[in-house]
Amino acid sequence: MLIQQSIIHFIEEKTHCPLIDLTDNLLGTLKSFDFMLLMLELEEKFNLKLPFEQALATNLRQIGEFISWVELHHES
Amino acid sequence: MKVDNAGKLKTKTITHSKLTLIKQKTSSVLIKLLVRALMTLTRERRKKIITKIGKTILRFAKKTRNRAINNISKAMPELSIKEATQLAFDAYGNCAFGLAESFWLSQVEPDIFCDEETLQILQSGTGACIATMHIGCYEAVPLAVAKFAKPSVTLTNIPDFLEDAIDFYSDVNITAINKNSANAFSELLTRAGNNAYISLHCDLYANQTEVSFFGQKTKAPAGVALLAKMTKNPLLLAYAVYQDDGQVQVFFETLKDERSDEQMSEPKNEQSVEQVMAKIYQRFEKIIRQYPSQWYWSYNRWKN
Repeated sequence: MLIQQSIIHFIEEKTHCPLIDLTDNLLGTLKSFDFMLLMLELEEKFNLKLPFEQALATNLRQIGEFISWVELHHES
Repeated sequence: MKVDNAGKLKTKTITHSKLTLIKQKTSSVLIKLLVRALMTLTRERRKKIITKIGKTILRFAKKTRNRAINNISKAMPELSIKEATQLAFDAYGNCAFGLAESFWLSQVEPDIFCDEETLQILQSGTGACIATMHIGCYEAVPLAVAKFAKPSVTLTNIPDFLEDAIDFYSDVNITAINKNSANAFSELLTRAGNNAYISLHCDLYANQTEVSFFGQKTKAPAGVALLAKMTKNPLLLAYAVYQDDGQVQVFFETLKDERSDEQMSEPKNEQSVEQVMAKIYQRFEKIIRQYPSQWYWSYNRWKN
């Protein structure tokens, strides 16, 4: 839940949009520069190692899918 | 009588896209013919012609000329307007040639300079992120990387009519990712994860991180620092300049973390993206001061 909150908060701050649709395309919503910032912030905050090259794989295009992917790495 | 507006619009769009395509094809053919004609000349002769053309273009491009002179005066207030104007013309001519050389990279044989540590990084095959700049021969850095270490990847801003230019890169083993393509970023990340040596020009304005450049606050792109952090790859700085005889020299440097071992052992003390970019820009400034007639001064660099 914390991860979801962090990601949504980050996107809200960057896009100035209070309502984030989890089915939206992640890179259509965030600039590539902000996406890299988000990845680094998540790694630091949750002490994670995220395989970034996987992050843009076809099944991670939606914000919701990205959240689940990060949570999965947190649990493991 | 009914008017089919949708049909009219569709026909108009098709005609417009056909016209654009014809324009692009024509421009592409003209550029190819021009390059072919230039290739029949010696490199020295080409340099003379292109430098002259560059200077002539600047004479007529008032906005570009004024911006360059303004930038030079801001950066080096010790120069008189006459000196700044002369520098603007020299730099524009030299940059025109530096840019044009992208079309015959296979004929460019750069001399490469680096220290032992940097050489090891370049030869290790484990990849690196390289901060480079629009100075001298723009694409000589990825070219030098391709000679040393593979794969060499760069991000380019190729106009549609020049898409064939990608051939010029692949001919010398450079993978050029077109910035304007939809999957440019994911391709860059994938390549970075596959031990590529990625050269990114980062001396332009971008609203990403604050830096001080020639004593003035401005903003800069931070992609190279972020990519290095994400991939945990070393961060290098490289630039290519011309010598008086036209020979290209490429210099590679490792951006060292100058903090103490104790400071570095603490992950929280890791250098921030802002600090890394500040360091890169300090070095850029020194390089430009050393070769002021080879940097492209006409960008709107201090737009804020």
